[in-house]
Amino acid sequence: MSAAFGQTFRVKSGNGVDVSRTLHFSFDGKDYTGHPGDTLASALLANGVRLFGRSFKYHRPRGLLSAGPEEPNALVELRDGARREPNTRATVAELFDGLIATSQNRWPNLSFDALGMNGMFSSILGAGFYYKTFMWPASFWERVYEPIIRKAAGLGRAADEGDPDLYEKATAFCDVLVVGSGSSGLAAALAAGRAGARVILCEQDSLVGGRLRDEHMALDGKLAWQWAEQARRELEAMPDVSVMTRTCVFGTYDGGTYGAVERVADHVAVPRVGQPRQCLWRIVARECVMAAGAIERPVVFPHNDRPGVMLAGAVRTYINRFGVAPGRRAVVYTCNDDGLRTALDLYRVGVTVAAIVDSRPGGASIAAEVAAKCGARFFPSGAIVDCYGRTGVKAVLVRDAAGKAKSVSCDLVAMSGGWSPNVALTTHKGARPTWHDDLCAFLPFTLPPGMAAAGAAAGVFDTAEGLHDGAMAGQWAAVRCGFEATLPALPEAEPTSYAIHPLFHALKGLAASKKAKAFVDFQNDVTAKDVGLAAREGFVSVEHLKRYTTLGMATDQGKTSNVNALALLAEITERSIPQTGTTLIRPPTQPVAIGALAGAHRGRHFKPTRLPPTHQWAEQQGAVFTANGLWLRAQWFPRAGEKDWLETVSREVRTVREAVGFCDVTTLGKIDIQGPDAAEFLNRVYVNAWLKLAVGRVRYGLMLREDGFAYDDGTTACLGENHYVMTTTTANAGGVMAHLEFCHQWLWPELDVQFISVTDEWAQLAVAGPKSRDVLAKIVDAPFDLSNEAFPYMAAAELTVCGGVKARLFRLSFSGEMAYELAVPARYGDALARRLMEVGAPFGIAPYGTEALGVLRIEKGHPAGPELNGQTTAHDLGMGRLLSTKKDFIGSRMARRPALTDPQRPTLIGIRPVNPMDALVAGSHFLPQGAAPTAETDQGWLSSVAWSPSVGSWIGLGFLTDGPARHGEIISVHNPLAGAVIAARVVDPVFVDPKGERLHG
Amino acid sequence: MADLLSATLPVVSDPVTVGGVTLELVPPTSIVSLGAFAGAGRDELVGRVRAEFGVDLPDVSRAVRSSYGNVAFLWNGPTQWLVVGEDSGELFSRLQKCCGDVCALTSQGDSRTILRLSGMGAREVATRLLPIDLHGQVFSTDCVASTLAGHIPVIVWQTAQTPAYDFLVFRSFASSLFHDLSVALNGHTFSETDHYA
Amino acid sequence: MRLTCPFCGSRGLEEFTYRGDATVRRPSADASQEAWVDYVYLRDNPCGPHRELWYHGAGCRSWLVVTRDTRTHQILDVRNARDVMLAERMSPEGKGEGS
Ligand SMILES: [Zn+2]
Repeated sequence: MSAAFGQTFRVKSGNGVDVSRTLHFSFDGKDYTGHPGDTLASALLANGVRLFGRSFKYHRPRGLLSAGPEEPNALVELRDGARREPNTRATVAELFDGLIATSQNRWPNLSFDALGMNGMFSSILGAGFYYKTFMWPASFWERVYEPIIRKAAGLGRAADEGDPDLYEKATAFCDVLVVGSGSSGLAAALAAGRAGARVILCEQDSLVGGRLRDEHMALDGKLAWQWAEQARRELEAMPDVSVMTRTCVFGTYDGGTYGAVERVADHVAVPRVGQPRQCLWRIVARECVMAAGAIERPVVFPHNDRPGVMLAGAVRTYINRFGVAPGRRAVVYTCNDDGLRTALDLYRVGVTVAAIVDSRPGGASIAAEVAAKCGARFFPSGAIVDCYGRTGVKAVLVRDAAGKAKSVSCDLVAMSGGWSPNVALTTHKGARPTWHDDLCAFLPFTLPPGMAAAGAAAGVFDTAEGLHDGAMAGQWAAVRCGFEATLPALPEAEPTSYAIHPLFHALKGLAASKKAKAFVDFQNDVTAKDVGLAAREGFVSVEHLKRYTTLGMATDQGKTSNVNALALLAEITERSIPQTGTTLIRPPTQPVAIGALAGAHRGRHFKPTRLPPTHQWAEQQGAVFTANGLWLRAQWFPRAGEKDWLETVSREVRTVREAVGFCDVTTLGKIDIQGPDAAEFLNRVYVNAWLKLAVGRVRYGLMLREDGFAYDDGTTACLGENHYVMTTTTANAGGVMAHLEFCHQWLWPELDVQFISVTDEWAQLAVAGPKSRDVLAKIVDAPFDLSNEAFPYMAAAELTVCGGVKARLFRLSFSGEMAYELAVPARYGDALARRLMEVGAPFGIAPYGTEALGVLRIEKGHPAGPELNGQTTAHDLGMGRLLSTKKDFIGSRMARRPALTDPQRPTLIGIRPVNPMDALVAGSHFLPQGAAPTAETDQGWLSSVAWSPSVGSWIGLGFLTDGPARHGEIISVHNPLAGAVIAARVVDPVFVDPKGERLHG
Repeated sequence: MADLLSATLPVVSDPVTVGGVTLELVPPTSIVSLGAFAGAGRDELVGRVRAEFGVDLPDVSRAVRSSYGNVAFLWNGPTQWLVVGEDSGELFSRLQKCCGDVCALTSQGDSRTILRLSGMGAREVATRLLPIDLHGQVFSTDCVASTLAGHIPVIVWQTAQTPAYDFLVFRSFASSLFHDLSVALNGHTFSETDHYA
Repeated sequence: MRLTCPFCGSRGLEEFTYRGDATVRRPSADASQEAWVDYVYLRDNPCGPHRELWYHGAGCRSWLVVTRDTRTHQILDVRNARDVMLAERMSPEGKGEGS
């Protein structure tokens, strides 16, 4: 039926459409034309297309209900390939040349859908269907129901490929945020802007004006939309006012913060190179004028979901803004004067108004006059009690005041149950709106701090009053921000009437079968019968009703259905609407793409990457890199001919043990600590004694948390009187800094000490191995003496290297070999690595990565991250003797608790499999040999493992109950994930050079 | 000496200019942090710096520039400042002589890399990454803020009215920040209006 | 949520980290185990204004004492923690206050 015969329903030039230019697009493979300014919905409507999609559950044919973001029916897939986007509302999708749109939720095609027979099974798919089905045997669910439901229900298909577009996140600040650019929003922005306030005006639409564009209306004798454009131009000319169109404010958050999403390039086929498709704005506003307008309510009557049954206000939008008549012969069904405007607009553009059905008694309104003017049959106290036409309305059954039913043929039904103020943004912080009988609407009651509601959003439906209300709100917002503000001169508006008599449904006296086809929630296919069933089954709380029927839980979040459902529930349970309650609305008010929430932080840029100073050099060496927190570190340096990483790492380990290797250890946290009380401060944060560390010496330190468990470790060097440099583990660098600041600022503010991070200041390279001194001798400047006597183990010095580069040298060893850590200003790190390669070549030097670093430290029994896991004590780590008993330090009291020093606690040990080739797996559990693997027999765990080229065996570190007393015992190492058990011997954790002779050489 | 090590820049990318806004790496400068010791008294430190450099250390988050010596003092916390000057070893020794006994002095010239965003529209680009208010009434020349550019900690210093912003970032983050700023730069658009009135 | 740092001004939540109750005080080393258990583990969960410690880690690195209404997230007061503690130490009844 929707063959492309041209835009035969385009009746005039709409105020928002440029008919001088033509755009080409396709829908379900057919080509159509439209104009700039059209939405996909208005363009298809202009081409006579009525059928837009199939409903979620029953696959009923559906057309347009609305002309805005509240649309529940016309959900389509936009674009194709990687940019395919499901569940897009055709009513907000701006037309662009080449747009490809596809209907969804239909098979094999839109007008014939094989699953439309779901409608026949509606009695079993009713309220609570999903819950009730779960009560059947569980196996049925997986094998039978879920596959069927997956195929039958559901919405569009997401793209199969990654999103090719860019997204952005940004923060904006203003004095006054105005949400909505209808008459009230524009007046508010003008009042605040003219006062000099910084104003952000957000409009979700591409054009400003709101209903000023949708209505045939004059302001100051000009067309209303022209005044809106004039206001926009004035606002845009103000330096501190920003008008953001295509920007939906979707949430209200604490502290005057609002979330908004700007559709920067959704209205073009492909964003230009580099341009983000959407930007997520966090707007921080001192004041907010919420003028988001109102959403019209449908009337619940049988078959009210036929394509061609539309909201009355939406019909006016299509006529006035888009110049499209949504039908040829219309019936207007209303309970309020506003709905009558639709008849006049239809009449004006030449659409036959077949009938006006007004639920109010005759003489109670201007309906009779309007009917006479339009030449329409008039049904006072009337109701539409049925609607015919499977894929498009053909007629309605009207019941007149006398109760007699008459069929009226038509292809369009414009219905109005009144308007619901768009109060969502006022409720996000927990405030509930209150019901007003006179307006048949929920209005904001308690507002978030700094927010005012204005215009239709506050229940002010008259244009003149709305302008004034907005201007007042804008003025007061500016005044509260400290500006002198006056009311701007406002244009004259014709008075409008919004007399309303409540009408939520037309079901009185109808059979249950009719109620089964009277839709309340179009998107989730919830009918009046479902609401009744839920109430009968006891779901009389509106929150329960919602969850039981899924009402209001679709992508439209019940924008057009919540109030009608509440009214129905109130009627069934014989309560008033306020007694029945209202559900809270949570952000976002409209769907927000995950891409926008992620912004630029995705893929490789999900987190920033920190590069050590030798990174460029390591890349040139062909290093393999690994992420270590934010750092990217060289993991190993493969050489030609090496068959796998293990061979490479083993070679690197042997190089350190037999000759000399070097490794970039810049990533360890380095904190410069200075001040008269620096030593005292260290003494309080470390477990061991610090008051007597001499200048030029380094000491190992262990930190506990206040609960007595180990927190972090490292070395601290004394560089001068009152001057120390502390190292932390890579993982805890930031945390230790915050911890030190906490101790200093909050616990001991009387201590005179200063901290600053120098992690990035110094490129620090570990040079390790028996030949390390020979290599360093080629680097340090004379007369520095590297001899063991002059510069022994745990010495530190400031010196120069390579002919005058300032440097720091520490004689430290993580590997157990004779070793140094050499620090130069970071800019020289890369050159230092190259120099070490050069001068070290005669000694067989090679770089090593984090993997070899790990093997070396496991061979030497040094605890690291896997051992300092937050659950181990100094005693567990074999460092109980470090704990000073002569001073107070962080964790000192709690570390003395008996349970923390119990020898039965699993304590650090080394592990060697009986068969050296048995690969150990970290995380395995320790059991006595032969014990059944139960929680009761569990005696500890394996924390770190490595293939040790030095030992010629797999080795590991772990924690074993009463460990140190059990050296020599054979235990079971149980890996329940793989079902493997390995026999292994408990040994001293130091596998290499247990006497430490190499360190001191 | 002939075998002195050569310095490597923290960012390898060339300057980028889009729509009149330029993103570039500022050549290395001397940066020294200055942390006041409580015992000596802040006034003593302020007095020493005034005597040597002719300026008062700022007690709010901004920079003051010394009329001679081309040195700027940036507030960096309630008891800490960053002194930014020309790249030479002299700044440190000059500070040491001036006030080395009443405060902690620490070299930060290699810790901090400076990326500069300048030109008309630089504010629009900076806004895309910074969560602070950069409006001229709130943040103007020589205002300084420690904050986050996206996920990266930075000190932002507006160095010119044009505007120009210097991002003092930890060296290891510099490549990441350069990338993020160039993405923001390329995505920056002046709002287009396409209504059909 | 936003906090107004006394040094940096109004900033977004992402610049801060939360630590917890600012009303507890570290006991002396010789205090009873009960006092220590109380300090390390036990926390009240008050309904209404509550004083708590926050760290402006992505800003000026100051620890702050924030008074927050736990029902509304309204921020009633923000002070520099170091000043709060120094003032407490100076006041005659300051020492040993809290638990
Ligand atoms: Zn701060």
